Amino acid sequence: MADVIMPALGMAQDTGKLVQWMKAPGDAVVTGDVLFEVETDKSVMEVEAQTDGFLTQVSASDGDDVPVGQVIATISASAENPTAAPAAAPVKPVETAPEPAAPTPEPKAPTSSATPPSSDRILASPKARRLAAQEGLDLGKLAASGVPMPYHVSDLAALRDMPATSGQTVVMAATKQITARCARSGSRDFMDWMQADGAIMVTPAVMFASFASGAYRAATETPTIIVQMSDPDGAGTHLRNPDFVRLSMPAPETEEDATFVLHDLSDSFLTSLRLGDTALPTLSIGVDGDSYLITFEFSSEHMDDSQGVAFVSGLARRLADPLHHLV
Amino acid sequence: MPQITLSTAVNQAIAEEMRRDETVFLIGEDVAEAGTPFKVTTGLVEEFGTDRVIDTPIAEPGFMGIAVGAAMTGSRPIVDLMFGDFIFLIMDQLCNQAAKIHYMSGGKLNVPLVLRTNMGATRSSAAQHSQSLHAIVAHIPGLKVAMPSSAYEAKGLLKTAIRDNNPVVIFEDKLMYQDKAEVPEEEYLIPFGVANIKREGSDITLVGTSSMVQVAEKAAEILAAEGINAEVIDPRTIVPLDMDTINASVRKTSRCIVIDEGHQSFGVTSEIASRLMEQSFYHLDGPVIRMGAMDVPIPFSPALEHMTVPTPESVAATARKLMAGEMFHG
Repeated sequence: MADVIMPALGMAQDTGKLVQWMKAPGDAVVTGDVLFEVETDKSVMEVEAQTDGFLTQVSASDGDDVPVGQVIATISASAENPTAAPAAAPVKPVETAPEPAAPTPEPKAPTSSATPPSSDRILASPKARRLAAQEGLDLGKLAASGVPMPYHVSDLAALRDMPATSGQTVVMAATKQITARCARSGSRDFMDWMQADGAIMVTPAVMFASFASGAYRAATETPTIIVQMSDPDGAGTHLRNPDFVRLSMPAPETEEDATFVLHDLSDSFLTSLRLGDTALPTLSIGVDGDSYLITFEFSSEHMDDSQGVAFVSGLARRLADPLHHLV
Repeated sequence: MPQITLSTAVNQAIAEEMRRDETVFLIGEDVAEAGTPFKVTTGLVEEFGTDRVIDTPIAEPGFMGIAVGAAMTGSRPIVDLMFGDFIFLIMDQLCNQAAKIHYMSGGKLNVPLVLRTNMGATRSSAAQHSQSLHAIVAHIPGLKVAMPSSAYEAKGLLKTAIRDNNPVVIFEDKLMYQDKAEVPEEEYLIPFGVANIKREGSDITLVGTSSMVQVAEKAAEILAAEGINAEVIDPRTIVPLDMDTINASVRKTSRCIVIDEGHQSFGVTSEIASRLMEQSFYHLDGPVIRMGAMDVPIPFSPALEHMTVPTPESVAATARKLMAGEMFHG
């Protein structure tokens, strides 16, 4: 897959006018084919394809003024999804790990990602915040007790003496994060081979679900695994034991509660999600050049650290070389 | 160990290096018989003659250009710029030429030049002779910048500067020329980029440059009487800057005030504070506070002039506020 960008053809050029596309979305292109014409202040130039494939994810139209450097299409290995790629906007904002001890009048909804309004914000020094998080202390209890802000390390002593958490205050376990990177070539060859040898169309999402389910099972010995395939809008189907069915078959959908969430980012501009929202173990798989980026967030309530490492390692191994999955 | 003034220490450093290396020469206004307005170079012309202690007309761009050319062709000039404020006159020679010739020549040419000049207010020299402009040259890659805080520091840093193959700018505080310190008779050098922990403490770090080291030390004494243990650090050179020592101290104390006599905005205090914020953020228990000269032309009136620069009392007051966890800004 290669990005098609609006080229900079002049020294002081901010935008280029896309005069017209010479290829339509979904068209096969070979290196050297004229993809589109661009008009600068001096002339009209033809822009050629730099690689072979299919023109997909076209996001600019004839007549558009496009900032130089902006991706306006992608040359993909297959003609699928030739329409415009979704912009990054509908995706939930990436926020840092939740304040482990933030005051929560009600148990935090798992999908909550809004920043608390400034009137609720705890003012504390970076060091006080860090130490409180390490010790699992809730700075919100100082505020609730009327201790004036901002809080410093010296205020933590009083906090340590306060009675343990009770009532409606929820202390969320700290989010842990494991990331991995592996080459895409093995999976790509595998998908191509499935297509060529058995005319079996394996999509990345199906492959990810199957491999992740298998790796999760091997790492945690969970008997039944429900994978929640997450859509950008938060909904998503639940697949039951996707590693038990052949890659050519759809995994059975279910209403059962999910074991973990899988974000397939391979067809988006996103490379990883770190939302710090670990009601469920959360896995994202994104693409960075010729690599897959695997991001896994979990807490000690889900599994211990060695299981998390084994899961991500196993998944990366399967993606790098799908034979590991089949054996 | 003998106690000598800062001006004597500088004089000794120049004389020792001129004896050691005959390519070293001194050039500037009134450096020969007059010995400069601060009497720093008195006696040098008698020993080394007018070929190596060269009086110039009042033409800073000219003699700075001469010195840059001499440095490129095998000499090691020491340029005496009578007031730091005059640095604006030699910006092209210093920043476009001296700082960049090694780079532009692909490493074939060196500019082993020392620019000695001064800084510091509270001498009623008025707005055009009282500025502390070290941050302006520290901004230019290719220049090293040393800021001695005592006679001992001035001698050791100047000797290191003269032996350095790169252009070095040394800012001496003109208020300190008559300050005495113990200086050993045997030779010593002070390496660049190695900060000096002047006083150890556990509660707050005071980073001071040049005469502000003394201000920080006096503030630390005031605070010690109140049970606050301040650590005082003298970076010695702001280019290169020893952030390892400063970071280690701030990670220990969790609090820091940076004190420098340049104008507070866009200055050395801002640079050090920013680096601490980037490098030690999660160890900070309060904001890093900058204390510099007010962002105004330095007044001639002594009553007003003294209000523009940090004092031991103002540093101690700021430290108390920081220790108490008070808010500085909303």
